[in-house]
Amino acid sequence: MNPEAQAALARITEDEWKQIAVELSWYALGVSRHLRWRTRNPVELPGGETVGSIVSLAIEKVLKGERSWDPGTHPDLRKYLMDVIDSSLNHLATGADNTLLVSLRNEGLEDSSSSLTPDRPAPREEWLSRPAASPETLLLDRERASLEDRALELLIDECEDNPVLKKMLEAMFDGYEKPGEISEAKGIPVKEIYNAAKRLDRKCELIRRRVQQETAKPGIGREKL
Amino acid sequence: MKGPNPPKNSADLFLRIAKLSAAAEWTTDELHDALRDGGVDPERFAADILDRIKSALRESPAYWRNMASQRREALMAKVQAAWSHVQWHLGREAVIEKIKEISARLPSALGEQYGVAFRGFNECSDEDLASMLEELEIIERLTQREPGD
Repeated sequence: MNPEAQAALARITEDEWKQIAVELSWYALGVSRHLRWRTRNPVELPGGETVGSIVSLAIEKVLKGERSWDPGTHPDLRKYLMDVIDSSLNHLATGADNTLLVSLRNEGLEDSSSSLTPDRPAPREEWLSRPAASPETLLLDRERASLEDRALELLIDECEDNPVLKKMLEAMFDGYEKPGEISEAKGIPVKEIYNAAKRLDRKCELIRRRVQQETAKPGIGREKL
Repeated sequence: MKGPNPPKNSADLFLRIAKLSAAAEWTTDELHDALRDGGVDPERFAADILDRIKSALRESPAYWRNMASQRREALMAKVQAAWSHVQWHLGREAVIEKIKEISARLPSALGEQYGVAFRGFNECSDEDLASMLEELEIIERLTQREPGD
């Protein structure tokens, strides 16, 4: 491990690690809730992972030198860890454990496999060799996108009465991402943008839960796998 | 220079909001409240993550080197504190009195050693006495064990 990184990591106190852990958990939750999980839960993830374990893994990778953090090029350890979290969550979301779907139709087929023709693969083999974008995956992706659209509609409604949040959303729709750009485009002080981003993010979390509750109602947006 | 880059879809916009908010400064209370809203117990999460961090730190090949470096820094801080603590304004008699007090408080082997070394007080200059007191104060601080030392 880079000696500079080693020294910087050694200087982090227990209290600072606690704060980093909580900040990264919130960040990981924010990223996780916009990925598609077969568990349908942004906290409890496939493969027995959780948002917390993903955060731990990211930190462990840096501490063990599996991810070589260089304070020279990435002075902010939190930001670097956020990138590691992004990559771990994306890896998990696209991994077999998340993309392999369990089909009720195939249950019980194992006993009848002897009756299959020799040129047809057994159900399990067929399962494993299935292309990534299966009809089920496409269906789930479409469903996911429509839920995100619904959440966005609710977010726009929620921000209607708040001029700063409304301007922020407009700027982001226009493609401005950085606080400086948004500030210039909409004339909002940068400090206010950070505060507004926090408020927007918390609204997103509440809306996501609302949408989840809506879809949990029988007959709305649920498909049987 | 890159121009504006509109989000590809709703999910992309939400992700941008999450990233922007992550760059903001959050107080611990704000984070705890936000995590609770998200159905996460922040205390449990932080404790679990901290356990894993501690164990990863212990397993790290650099652990002992880091510990040594932390201890060295802590010792340096104690020495610095002792330096700043020395009372240069005390009169000669008071300095001698303090030297005797500290020598008596030191663990017996050290006390004897310094008692012998510093016995000719009357022959010492004021500067020498101040320097003896300084040395004794540093030694006393260094010999005071703290929890975890």
